[in-house]
Amino acid sequence: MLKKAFIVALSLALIVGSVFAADQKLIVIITPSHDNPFFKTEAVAADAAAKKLGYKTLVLSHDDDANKQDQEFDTAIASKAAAIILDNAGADATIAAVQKAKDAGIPSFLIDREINKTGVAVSQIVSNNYQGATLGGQRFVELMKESGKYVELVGKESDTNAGIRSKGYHEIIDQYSKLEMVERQSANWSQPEAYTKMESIIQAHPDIKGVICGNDTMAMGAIAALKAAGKGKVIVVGFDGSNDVRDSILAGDIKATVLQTCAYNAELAVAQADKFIKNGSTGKPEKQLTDCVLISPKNAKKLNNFVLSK
Amino acid sequence: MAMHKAARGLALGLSVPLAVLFLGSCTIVKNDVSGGSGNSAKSSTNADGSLDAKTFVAQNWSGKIVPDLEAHAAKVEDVVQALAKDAASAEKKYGRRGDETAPFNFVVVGSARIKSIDTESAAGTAELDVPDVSGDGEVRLQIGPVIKGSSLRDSLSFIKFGDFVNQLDYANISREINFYARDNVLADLRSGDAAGKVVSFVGAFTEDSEGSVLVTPVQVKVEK
Repeated sequence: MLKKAFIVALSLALIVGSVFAADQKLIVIITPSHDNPFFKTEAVAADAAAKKLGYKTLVLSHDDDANKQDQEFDTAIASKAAAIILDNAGADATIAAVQKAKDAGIPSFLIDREINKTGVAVSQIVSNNYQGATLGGQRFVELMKESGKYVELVGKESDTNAGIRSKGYHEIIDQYSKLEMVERQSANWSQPEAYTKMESIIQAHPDIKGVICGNDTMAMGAIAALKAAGKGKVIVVGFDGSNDVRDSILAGDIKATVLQTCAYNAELAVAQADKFIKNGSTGKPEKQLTDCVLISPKNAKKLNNFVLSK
Repeated sequence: MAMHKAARGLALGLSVPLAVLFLGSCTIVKNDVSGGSGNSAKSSTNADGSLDAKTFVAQNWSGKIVPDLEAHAAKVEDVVQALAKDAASAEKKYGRRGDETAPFNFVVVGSARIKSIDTESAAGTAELDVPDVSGDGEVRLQIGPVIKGSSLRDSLSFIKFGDFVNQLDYANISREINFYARDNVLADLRSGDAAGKVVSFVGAFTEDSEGSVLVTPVQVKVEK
């Protein structure tokens, strides 16, 4: 009787002990550089969500360099990560890295940018950049009253989202024959570069009516250059939903932007990673498209850190 | 002996029509790097492997796209009233959407008099006098030439984002559906003399925060 009780007690102690002694699982979070608040928000949201669920985390940036991203995948594999949360450095270049991790037993959960292959990552929670761009494009057309000269500032060419947004803008804008694009240049997602380029463009085309930008940092550069030239009334539209652009919209400068719910997407990815780790499946299809939301003077007040409150 | 021959004959006899049925249903869509699969991919794939959305839409319009929407259409006045009364249950009963973060889409059928046609904007509209819809319940049809949104694609039960290589291919489907409607379905409404006439339609609208109902038609018939 006593012996049986002892065995039961010992077993319980061992079970409890093993639970406490079990290694915390590691989730590795990899995004582009945190210089851009969009990516910083993703990383911070994923990090917080993972820690809340009891994981340890490792947060890395690949700086849009596929080689660096590859090395970071090697780090995750060597550290025996339980999962990788990734905003990737190239839709084709990334496939091999995600496959390598998969072969090593590590599932990947992608956010924001997709890769051009299914069946390698477990989840691809993609922002519907195209839909967002049609929203921004449509608002731009309305503000322009369907006519006039405009400029397009495109993002970094190597980032597929730059091309996707541009295509979305043009699907809408090109249908209006009285809208004339006088200049189209890449400012590589950079605020200072957008400023410099805008300065030159204003000199060549002093009569432009609007500027449509591939992202918010470029929109900030553009509006600054326009205001400096006394042209603050030119219609500027951005994309992302940053706090800077929110403030500019509320001040009456930039007219609109498009919110990508990156914090939500990052949290969703972590939740799905957790479910996968525990159950072997997420219960969702691999590719999930999260819609973007138009931000205008009407709702800008409710926007903070890429979250639009009700 | 005879049985075997008969069985073979039967198999042959069935296989041809079955093959035609299968190939004719044209579902694709996995245009992966290796070049896609099946007859449907060949006919709807560009040389570089990307999706030829224009061909896909043209080939599937009458056989798949329109029937799919017709089969799921509810009377427009029922849907509009239900949304006004209790949006959540209306969404549950009539709504369709791909992702939880996307707004609901509603496929509707109706017949109403055209109150007015607005072509000041390139995104033209026809305002309808829908019976039993009162107050601010303004129901409009998109008539083009610019068609806004992706209500039609988003209402189709057989088009899913996951079936496409990337967002661009998925987006092109919507664009080509809209262009097809613009060119083949809505031209009559833009001709100038539709105002005052009764129009029968099947189409879809996407729920918006302001409660306005803007239907993208997939089928339209203007009474003479």
